[in-house]
Amino acid sequence: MTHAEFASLLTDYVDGTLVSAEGAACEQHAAACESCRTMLADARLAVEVCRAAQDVTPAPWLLPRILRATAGARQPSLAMRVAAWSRPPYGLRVAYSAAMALFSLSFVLYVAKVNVRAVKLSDLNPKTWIYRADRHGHILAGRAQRFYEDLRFVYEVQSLLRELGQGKGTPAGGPSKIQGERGSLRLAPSISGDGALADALYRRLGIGGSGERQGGVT
Amino acid sequence: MEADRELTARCLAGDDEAWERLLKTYSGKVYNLCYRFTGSTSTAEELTQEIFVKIFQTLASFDPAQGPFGVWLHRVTRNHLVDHYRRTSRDRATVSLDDDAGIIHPRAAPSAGPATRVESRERRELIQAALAELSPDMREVVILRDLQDLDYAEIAQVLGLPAGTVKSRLNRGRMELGRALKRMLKGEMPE
Repeated sequence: MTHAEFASLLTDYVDGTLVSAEGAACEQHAAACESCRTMLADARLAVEVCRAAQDVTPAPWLLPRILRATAGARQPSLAMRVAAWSRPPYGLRVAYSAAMALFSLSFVLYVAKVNVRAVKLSDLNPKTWIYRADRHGHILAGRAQRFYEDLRFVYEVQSLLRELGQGKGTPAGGPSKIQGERGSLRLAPSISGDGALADALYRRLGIGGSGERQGGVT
Repeated sequence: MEADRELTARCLAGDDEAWERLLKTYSGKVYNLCYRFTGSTSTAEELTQEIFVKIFQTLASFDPAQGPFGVWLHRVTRNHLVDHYRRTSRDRATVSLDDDAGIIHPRAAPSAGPATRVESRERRELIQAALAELSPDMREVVILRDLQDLDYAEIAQVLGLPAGTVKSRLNRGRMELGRALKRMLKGEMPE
């Protein structure tokens, strides 16, 4: 192998892409020729140093700066904006918005008592909605209040009966019948005999004193 | 390659997200190429931005049938660097490395210790100084092959040269770079 041949194969030899016969010939020539050996060493040093070199990373502000200088200058079309909204995470936002809108609409229809299967002209009038919603609201509020008062009445009776049981002893057989209705109470005769406690009970329930009780308790 | 083709098609259709992905994929390579040619981070940043603005404006001229997007991008980058070299009318690779004294962004910086950082920086400066000793023709071939890891066919496409010319330039470039590195390692810094 001549020096010129060695030089022409040097790049491939350093890259390791020569076939084995050519590679062996280069190796033999380099072993025998000092100048070619020096050339080989120089080329190898250059490749090794370059390959060992780390990449430099651009500054973090470079990418946003380029984006501003390129795409930032472009106004997105309406179709692009719509497409952007349908893409995650905007897709989720759209789904939530749609669900909330559906919920609000169904709530308004329910409160306004609109029958969607038989919509009348008056159903489309917002004044009708407001009137019905107001009426519906009052009915609901009335029911809630009545329920609350009933519940309160029952708890008061229960607590009084508990007091009776813990105080002067539970009357034999306990109260045989309690008819709860706002403003009136009928107690079984078994506890009506305990005058003081019965009076307290009637007073707590707002039924009145012992005079009134004469006719109220059987 | 298919992904690049799809991304470029989406970019042309006005999809900014595709453009951003393309930028993220290639900005590092372009920046590195610019840095290796100029030896200055600030100049490399400016050139990278100019190149991507040019890419953005001329993306419609990219023809996938002529080769992959990466090769086209390298060609545009290389042409822009040559223009820059001519514009500045002096070899930018000979600029002082003091230009880089302020900002360094080595890839391993966040996890590397101070000693590693110093070593990394010294090595990078050594390479830059040695590259600066090469003629621009040889330097670009060495950078594309040994620092950007392009194969001969790609380099030939980027430079528009026959593969034989690429090889002979690379050969001479490597030997000159090796000699320069040896001198520097012995303490004979270039003027």
